[in-house]
Amino acid sequence: MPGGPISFELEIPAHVERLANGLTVVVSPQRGIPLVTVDVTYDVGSRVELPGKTGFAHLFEHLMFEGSENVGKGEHFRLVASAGGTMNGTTSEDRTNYYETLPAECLDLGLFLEADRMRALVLTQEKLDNQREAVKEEKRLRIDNQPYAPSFETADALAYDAFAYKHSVIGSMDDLGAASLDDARRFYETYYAPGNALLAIAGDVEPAEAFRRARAFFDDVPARGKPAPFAVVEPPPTAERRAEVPDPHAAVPALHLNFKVADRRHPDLFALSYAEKVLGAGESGRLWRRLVKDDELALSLTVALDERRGPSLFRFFAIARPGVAPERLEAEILADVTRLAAEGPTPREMERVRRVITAGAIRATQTTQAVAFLLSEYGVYDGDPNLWRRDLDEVLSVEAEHVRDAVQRWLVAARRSVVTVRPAEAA
Amino acid sequence: MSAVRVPPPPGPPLPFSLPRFEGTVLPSGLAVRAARWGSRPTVAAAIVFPGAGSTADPPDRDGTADVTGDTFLGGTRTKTARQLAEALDDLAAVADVSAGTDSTVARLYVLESDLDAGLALFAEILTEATFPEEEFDKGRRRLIAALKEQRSEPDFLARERLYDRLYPGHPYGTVSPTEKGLLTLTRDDVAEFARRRLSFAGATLVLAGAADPGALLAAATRAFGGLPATSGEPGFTVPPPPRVEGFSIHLVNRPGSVQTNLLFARPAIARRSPRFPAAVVANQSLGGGASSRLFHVLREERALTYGAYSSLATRVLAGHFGASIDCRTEVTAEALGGLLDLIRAFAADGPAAEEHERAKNYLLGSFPIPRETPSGVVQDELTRLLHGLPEDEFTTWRDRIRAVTREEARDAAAELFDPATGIVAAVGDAGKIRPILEARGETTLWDADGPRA
Repeated sequence: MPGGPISFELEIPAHVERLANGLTVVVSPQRGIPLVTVDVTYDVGSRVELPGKTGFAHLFEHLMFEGSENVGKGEHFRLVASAGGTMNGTTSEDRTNYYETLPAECLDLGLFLEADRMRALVLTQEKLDNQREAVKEEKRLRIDNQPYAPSFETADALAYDAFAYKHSVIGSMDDLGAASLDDARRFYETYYAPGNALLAIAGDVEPAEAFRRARAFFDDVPARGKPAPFAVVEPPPTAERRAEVPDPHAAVPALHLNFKVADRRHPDLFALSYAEKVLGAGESGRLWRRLVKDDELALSLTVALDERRGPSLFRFFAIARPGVAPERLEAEILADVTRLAAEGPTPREMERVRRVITAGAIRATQTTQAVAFLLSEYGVYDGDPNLWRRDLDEVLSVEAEHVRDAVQRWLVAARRSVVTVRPAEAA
Repeated sequence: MSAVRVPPPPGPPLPFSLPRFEGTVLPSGLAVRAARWGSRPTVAAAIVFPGAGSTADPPDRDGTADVTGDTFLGGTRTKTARQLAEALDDLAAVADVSAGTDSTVARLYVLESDLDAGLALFAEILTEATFPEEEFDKGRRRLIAALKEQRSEPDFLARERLYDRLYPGHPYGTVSPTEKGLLTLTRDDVAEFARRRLSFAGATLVLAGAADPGALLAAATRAFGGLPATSGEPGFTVPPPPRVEGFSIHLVNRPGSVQTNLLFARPAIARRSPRFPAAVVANQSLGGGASSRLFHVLREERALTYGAYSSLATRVLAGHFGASIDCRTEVTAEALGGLLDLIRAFAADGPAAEEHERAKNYLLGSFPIPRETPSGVVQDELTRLLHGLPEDEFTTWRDRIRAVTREEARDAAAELFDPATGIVAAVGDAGKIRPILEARGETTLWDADGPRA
């Protein structure tokens, strides 16, 4: 067998404590480089937004950088930079996180900043108005002014029925415009409680000392109620859905072909991660090789398993070569899906994907930030940061028959939504 | 326990040392340098061919370096393109050959357990590539098709116009080959470029991973050591670009744009200059990050943009200072005016004392962050080799940053940032923003397909 058997060691220690106020603290010592990443992940994402309030979770993320009781406006950025650190926040459908990567001797600063904004964020109308404009610019920059970007919103809206995943993280201009200071206060009270958050400390730290410091900064953050559990539930699939998007910025047509599949960590999703790579990964992924390289039908093709806490999406996105109709791309993609459903992957493809998954896990855990993100996600979603390692072993034990069966079960017409994007004249 | 009310001071600084590279030179002339770095069983490797970038494109053969890099995976004496792709994927290895302006770099990422097999494949790609006609044609058709799609992206249009005007008539002025240029190229041009410019004489293979450097060197020798001595034409054959004079604005019309993308650039400083650290510190105060002046004023105070930044770009034969802001069409005048006014004020007065200290602290403290991984330290070594920097460039870098005085930063800003000289490239809806730009300076209108309107 090319490549030979895989043997690898990949252990990432994760120690867990729960503070009296409900905050979960995870410490992962990563020795070698004197850096530490402090990450606070809140169990709130755009999925909790209601109609008329879209984009709010992300807008609120911006407000978290605008100052708290002991940190003035603009001071967060200055304090982190002065310490030689980097920082940011990100909002997804399923969670929001905030992080600093700092010289290890500046761990206290990261803890101070995160504790202060968890305990006593200062919200004002002026800050809200200022960040509302910054977020609107972000939406124009990343979505409204880019080719194809708006069509991803259409594709999600078409694929999902539940509002949670039907709308985009960035939200609508109207809803951003209507967001009020009262909304922000309520959101903070509801979702930014220590019991709804996880603090991860990954890097050049000694666990007992790191826990001691975490308690010193977070113990006096008052406990607040935890929001009710939230789940995204979709009705049973019935029929294929289709939509067309005229795109004034696109030069050539494109195609989204999505299948609504199971929640993350469902055993069939482990199997579908093989289908994703057999079709689209590396230089030899079947469909990518054929459409992009050999048959010259697509400029680019992305095959991605978009894993979510609720129903996930198995996505295909292809940009056509000039002169190729999106209908042709659709037929070609479906032909390969049908073949995979009938025959499953070859033994060589299975070995190749196992190796790709192994190498991916090794390469994706080389930095303190990546480790903090990985442990936080499992800690918040599943209550156990160490679960990722068991999942990795489970993924690596998937057999070809399971991949074939999962493709047969999930990549079917009733679960399919298709969006064709066609160039349109600018207004 | 009561809350901590003031930002806690840092503890005693912890030492951070870069790895020491060990080296050898193989009979082919290929130098090899290896270092132990990181804790995961994976290896990052790269070969830099200095001089083999777009600056080495033969006359009337724009795009040769680009297409050559792109065609390396087209097949070898014993493998077709598909077999090569499968062989790489069987190892979960990633290999890539790509040309920049000043060099071609070939990269390989491979698991430590597959190091020998990965390097053998890497050597096969680099020494036995056959550049088959069919694969060359396919690659060229793909690049031509991609050109059309690229023209729908505002970032591409802005960069294309900025570089074209900043380095007129020089290879540095081209960010992407043209369709006309690509159609002139032949498969033989590519094979000839590879033979002459991608010679191991003058090239260096850099490896880093958790393995012992001796083991990395031995593996490199097993893969590349049997090759005979090579000769080629390394080095730079084009003169440095002329320095742009005066100030001008170039507007690329993109009807229907809801934003204006604005880039500014002007000639600055070479990477080798002893004053480069002072320029880096000054740039950090002005626009290096979210705590810098441009971001603070233009986003946090004035809500004109999602982000405004400045940077220093270095080529081997030149360097430039650049700044960027994207804004909604309606506030184009305020954004461009704000950006240029802030740069002008900074060039006149330099950083405030507090800005200067913060910039230095940031650069010193954050130094390890991009160097957490083997590929981070490999990148340092590639930069050092490409720019001809001394062996201790990165081990002494923080000492030189620490030594930069506020006066030196101010002097660097005065000489290198002043926007009285430079190019503005704007991409947006010309029907709405042309008069605004004309009020700021001589403005030339271009269409998105490239030519002057």
